[in-house]
Amino acid sequence: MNGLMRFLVFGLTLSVGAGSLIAQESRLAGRLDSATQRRVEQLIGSALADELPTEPLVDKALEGASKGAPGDQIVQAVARLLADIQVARSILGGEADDYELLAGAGAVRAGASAERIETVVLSRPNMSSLVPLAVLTDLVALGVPPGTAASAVLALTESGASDAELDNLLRNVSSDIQAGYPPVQATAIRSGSPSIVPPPGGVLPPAVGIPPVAAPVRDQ
Amino acid sequence: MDAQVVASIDFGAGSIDYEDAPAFYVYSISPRVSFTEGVARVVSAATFSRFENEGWGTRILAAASLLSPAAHGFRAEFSVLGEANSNRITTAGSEFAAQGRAHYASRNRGVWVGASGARVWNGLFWQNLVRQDAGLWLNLRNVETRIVVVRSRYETEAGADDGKSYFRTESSFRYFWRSLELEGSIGGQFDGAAANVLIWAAGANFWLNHRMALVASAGKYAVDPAQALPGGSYMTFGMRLAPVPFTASPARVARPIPRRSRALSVFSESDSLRTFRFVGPRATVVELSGSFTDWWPVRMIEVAPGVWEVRVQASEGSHLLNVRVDGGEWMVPEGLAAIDDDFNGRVGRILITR
Repeated sequence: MNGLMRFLVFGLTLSVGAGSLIAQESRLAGRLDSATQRRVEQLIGSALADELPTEPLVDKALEGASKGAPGDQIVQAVARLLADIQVARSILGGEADDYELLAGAGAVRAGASAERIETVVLSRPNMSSLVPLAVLTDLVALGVPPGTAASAVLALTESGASDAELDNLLRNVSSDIQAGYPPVQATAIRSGSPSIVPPPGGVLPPAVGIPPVAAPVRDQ
Repeated sequence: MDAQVVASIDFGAGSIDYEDAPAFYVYSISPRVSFTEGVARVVSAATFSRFENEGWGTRILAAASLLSPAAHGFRAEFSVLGEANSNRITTAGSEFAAQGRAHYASRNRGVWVGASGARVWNGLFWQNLVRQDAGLWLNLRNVETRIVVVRSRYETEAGADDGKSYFRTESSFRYFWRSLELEGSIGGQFDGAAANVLIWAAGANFWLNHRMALVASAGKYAVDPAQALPGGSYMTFGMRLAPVPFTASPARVARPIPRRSRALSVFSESDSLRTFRFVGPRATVVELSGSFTDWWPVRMIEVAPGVWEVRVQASEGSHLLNVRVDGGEWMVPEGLAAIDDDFNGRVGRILITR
């Protein structure tokens, strides 16, 4: 590459980076106080320098703002997500796209080990690892231990399962858990590892309750 | 927060058999409108009836309620209501009441106790009425159940010696299945004397589309001793038109509707346009917020009873979101993976694929 070409490429990179930063700043404008926005922008700048995706960082800051979180908590959340994305990059390598990196960061956060994540990715050469990683992460979030979740995903990816089949695994396990099955058994059944199935009957975990508005009028 | 207006109007025909008059065929029009903004709600309903013998009857009711924010499952509710009945055949009555209730609720069950004071006109003179009520509700998938006990005591201003009390109890259920709603209740009214009455009601609504339903109902109701309104039995058939919510885009409801309460599903309208659908049978306001809305709350529209939708741009991939019902806390819809949101709460993750 001659000097002129290098200069042009460098200039283009700077322009794209600056444009991206400006775009993210515009999304943050008016949603954060100036001090918090400045600290979040510093983290976004770090991500840009490492060629990591910045939109998830902005999304996290906006989520915090929407939920009324204090500035320090927002900055910590963004920094933690950036750290997860950096770990995901180290596991997935430079080939991974932004969506895969974000899914990988989710898996890291869920507690999946680097070895398990790498095994899942390698089980699908030349295909996107977005869906396998997202399903792995969501299975863990549903209460499936990371090892069991990774094994279930691997069982499908190694047999050449499509994204839709992986998505079905997640939906079916979620449905079974809601019906009362323990997460491990639901996962084992749905990933093709049959085991003794207990009858459903477990009480579903409580969620945030919203009482109904009792009709303020007398019943007819 | 934007207000939401929901309205419907029923056109029906049937027969009514008052206890103190012969049975009549009747034609009726029943408009209903509700206005909700945050935790405030105003409901107004009326029925205008025309009897076969040129007689007529009117019932108009308006009520407003305000809910407090939830604190450890507890919420307070304050409401006022006004009701007027006029009937050329029999009598007239009205009631104006103020009511307070305390609710305790979890995700799919709750209890409440309440008390109210009212001024009641029985066609001859005004009376004071004090009412205590308690109830519990339980929602299981597509069945909603409720049990209510109400004690009422009314007395003239002349003195407590004129006071009379009566109890009313009612167990009711509501069942959803696709486009069908079934409702039923059974109970009784007891005054400790001979005038104990069994009351019941049964109804079915079949939604032809999200704006029009066939409705049928029958039942038996008790005397209102305070307003001196007669009891009776009825059977009606009709059609319900629901032209409002005004802001609803003509969203399709032809797809199977997930009837699991608090469940969220997403459908792709195009490469990036998605319809998010949430089932909130008892909700009056539902909002969606997520990474695809820049975490701005977006109001969902009730496209069929208990079914809420909104169309937004959302790319393929993994998205985080929360749903808020009736101005409460942001929650994770059932069926979604819930993770810590780093802000002392939970956030749901949904995977959107092609």
